[in-house]
Amino acid sequence: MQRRITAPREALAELREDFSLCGKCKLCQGVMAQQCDDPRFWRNCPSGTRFRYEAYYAPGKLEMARCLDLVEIEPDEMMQHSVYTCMLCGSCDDRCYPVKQLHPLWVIQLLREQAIADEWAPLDYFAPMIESMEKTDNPYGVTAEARVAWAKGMDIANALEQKVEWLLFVGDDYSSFKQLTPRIQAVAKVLSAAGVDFGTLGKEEVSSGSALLLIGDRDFFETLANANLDLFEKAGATKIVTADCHAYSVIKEEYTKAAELEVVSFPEMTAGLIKEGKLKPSKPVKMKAAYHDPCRLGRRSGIFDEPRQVLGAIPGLELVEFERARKNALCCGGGGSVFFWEPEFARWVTNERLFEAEHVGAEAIITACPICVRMFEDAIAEKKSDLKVYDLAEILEKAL
Amino acid sequence: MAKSRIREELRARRVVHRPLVMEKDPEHNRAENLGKALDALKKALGEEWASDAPSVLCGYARDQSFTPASYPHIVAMPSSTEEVQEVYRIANEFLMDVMPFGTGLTTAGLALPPYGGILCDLRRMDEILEIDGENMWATIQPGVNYLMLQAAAQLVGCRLLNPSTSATAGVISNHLFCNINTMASKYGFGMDNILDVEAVLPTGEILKTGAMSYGAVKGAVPGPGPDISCLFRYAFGTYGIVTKMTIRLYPEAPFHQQIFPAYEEDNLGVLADALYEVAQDNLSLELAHLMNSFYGIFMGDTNKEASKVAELMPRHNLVTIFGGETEEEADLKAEVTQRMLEEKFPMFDYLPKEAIEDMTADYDYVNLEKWVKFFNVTVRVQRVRGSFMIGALIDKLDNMVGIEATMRTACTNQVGTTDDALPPDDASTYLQPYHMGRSAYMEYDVYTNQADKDDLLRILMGYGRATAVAMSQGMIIAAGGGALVKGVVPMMDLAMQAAQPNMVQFMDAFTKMKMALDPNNISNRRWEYDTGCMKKIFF
Repeated sequence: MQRRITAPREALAELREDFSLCGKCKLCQGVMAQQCDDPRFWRNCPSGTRFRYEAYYAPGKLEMARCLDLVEIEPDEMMQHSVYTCMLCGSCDDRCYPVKQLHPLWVIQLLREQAIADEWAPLDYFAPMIESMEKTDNPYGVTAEARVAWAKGMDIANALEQKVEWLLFVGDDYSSFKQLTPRIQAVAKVLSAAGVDFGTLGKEEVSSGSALLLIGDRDFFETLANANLDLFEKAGATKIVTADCHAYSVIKEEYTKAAELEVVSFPEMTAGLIKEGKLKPSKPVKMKAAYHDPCRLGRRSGIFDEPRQVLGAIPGLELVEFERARKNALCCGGGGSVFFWEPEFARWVTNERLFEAEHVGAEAIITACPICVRMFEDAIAEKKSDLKVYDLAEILEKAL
Repeated sequence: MAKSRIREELRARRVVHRPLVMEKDPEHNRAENLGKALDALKKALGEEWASDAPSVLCGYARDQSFTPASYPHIVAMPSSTEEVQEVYRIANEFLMDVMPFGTGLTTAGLALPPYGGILCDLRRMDEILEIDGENMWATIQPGVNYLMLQAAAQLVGCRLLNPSTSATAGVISNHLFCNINTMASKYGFGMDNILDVEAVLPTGEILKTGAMSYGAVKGAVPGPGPDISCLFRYAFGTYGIVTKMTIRLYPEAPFHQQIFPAYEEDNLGVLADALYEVAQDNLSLELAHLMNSFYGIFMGDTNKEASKVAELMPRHNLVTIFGGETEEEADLKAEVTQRMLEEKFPMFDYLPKEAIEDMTADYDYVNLEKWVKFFNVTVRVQRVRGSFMIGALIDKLDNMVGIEATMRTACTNQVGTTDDALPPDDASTYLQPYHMGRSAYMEYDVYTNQADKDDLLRILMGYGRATAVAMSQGMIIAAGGGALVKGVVPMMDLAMQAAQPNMVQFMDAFTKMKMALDPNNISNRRWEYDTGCMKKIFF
């Protein structure tokens, strides 16, 4: 019998207390109040800021969950739209939990799972992605052969053929977009430079399933997760490193329910390697850059210091902070699989972040997530802005 | 939308279906007009900015109070004064009720539309239109919250009267609803600091008050003629929607010092005396009394931790913050006040600042220097139990003590436990001296869990009895005045007449004004013109 990561359940009802006890204090709409120095940047809920109705903020969605639970309302098109334009960035959750111990993010995620189970999810919009997953095990329809093109000419071990200490999980985006090829190559080069014994799953690696989990399709996610877990087993891999923070969060949060794994993000590993003296960034990289905290790595996983430690070790690099940084970071627009459905809204959020980068005087944005890199790069190209975007690995490699 | 089997089964299991609106109204909000009104609103505001989707409406049907769900028929989001006029024009044409909604943070069901109609969500009007640090005022729209305005004020060297509520509370609605703040002993409540307003009356006309009305310099002495900005205090949209307001700002002291006088015994009388003394000296910039349970507002990453903090704190505490142009000035004010308190109240302890710093060090959302300027927290009551009832009372400071004790006994007896004080998680009292201690605001909060019917009933009855006791002793309910006295709480109008006979003529005047300004009775409709009675019982 196929193992399951999560037992089937009437998911939303588990969080009845969370959606019943919301006091509508609205703190979840913004940044931490005491850390706000400029009124222009107090907002932090992407969908609420754009669409404004209560339904687009966390309290409205909690109310929807309550009303669905009470069978007071039926799903409608606005419900689809508000539930599926949430970027699942977790800012609301981060504000709410310390003062109220509620988890709006979990409720919204489970609303999506409920939407899939009850057949009111806007699957038409996600059909191309789901179809691609079915055909190629990749959300963007990139074939297995094409997904390993980035490694051509590089001496990277195949973990299924050769025992390695660390399995580098490449992830969907790095393996699918040409613009990210130099970035994932930089990841591999940095690990090699530090003498890390690592390999990949090569053509066999399938999607982490993160995009499916984001839209609430837990069953399909588990199919892919189990395929990867089988490969991990086959390779005897128990230590996973990845630069893809979406993959990082699903492996860490979900895969580990079914297997014992040590999961480390690229910034965590490189910060450790620098500390141990195994990586010595010595070449100056002269630029004034702002570090963008990816939602999955920062708020979701609490990794704020490590990327800054890496950047702090690079000579010549002047690091500035966004007005909304660390726990207050605004989503890049790439969260929640929203760009599959509402690309214009996603671009609107990305542009807001670019505005903020320019406001703090940054010449470049450095981040540690392939989706963030892609979102920023595409928006900058459209705006013809002078800002540059770098992956953390890219900058680190330049400095070695 | 596809009907799913799971939902059908779920529906079959449920016994009770809540109605969308509490009762059908034969005249207002008629079914045949809803579609027409929606079309007209979409045309006036833009397709995106009016909706009757149940998933949108449900977000406006409840708040943290005990008030049952009450859905609007339509939500409209105007972006300008002109669009608010359009909303009223359409509402009058189709006889739809209009319920204004600032930022939607209410503790008493005040922004829930009792009969449905159009809910006018003003959050698209969220501009700080002008801010003048030199002359210390700001003109704002109704969607501006304290978080935004405080940050903007600090950029020009000022600060504002920040209430002890979430930083996301709307400034205009809160200032109109009294605005109890920690600087009240020095500068008064927010409602005393309104310089002018622009309001759209229910007829769609624009009314400008104060200096704004005749183009004088903002911040000028109001006049000529009476300042009718006060008309909108406590009015909750019954007289129209305020679309602009100018409020006073105050200078931000460059240096601060804090002392933390505390008293372990549950004796509010001693605290009232101390508050009076400190307020009269007028050295402190911020002054309030907090029970230990209120400290849970500020600290603790979880409820459990917050409760621990509350247990660690002495029962009664004074928040006493001093400002100065120099560090020495702030220190000196603190020192003089502490010396005075030590002499007159030898029973007080003083918590070392380092201890408070230690207690807050672990929480990155608590910055001791900013803790009263930005309430980065929701109120304690929301945090711990989910819901609460707020008793807001104003009287002479020394009268408060007796009334509080009687209220507490009444509440405790009703709740059916003992005559002992209610535990901190059931009720809290908070004393805020007003105008150098000449009078005070007392907040008496009782907490409950909305999801627990027994607990809700227990607390509701206790609160009712406590409030009745307070009124029988001549206490004025601070937030009960204004046009909404009828209909805001069941039988409030009758109770007021019994406890405060002189209120009758005021209520008559409110009614006449309401009838003059809102001939169709559409703006936050609470009672009927023909019978003079409130139509709906809330509970």
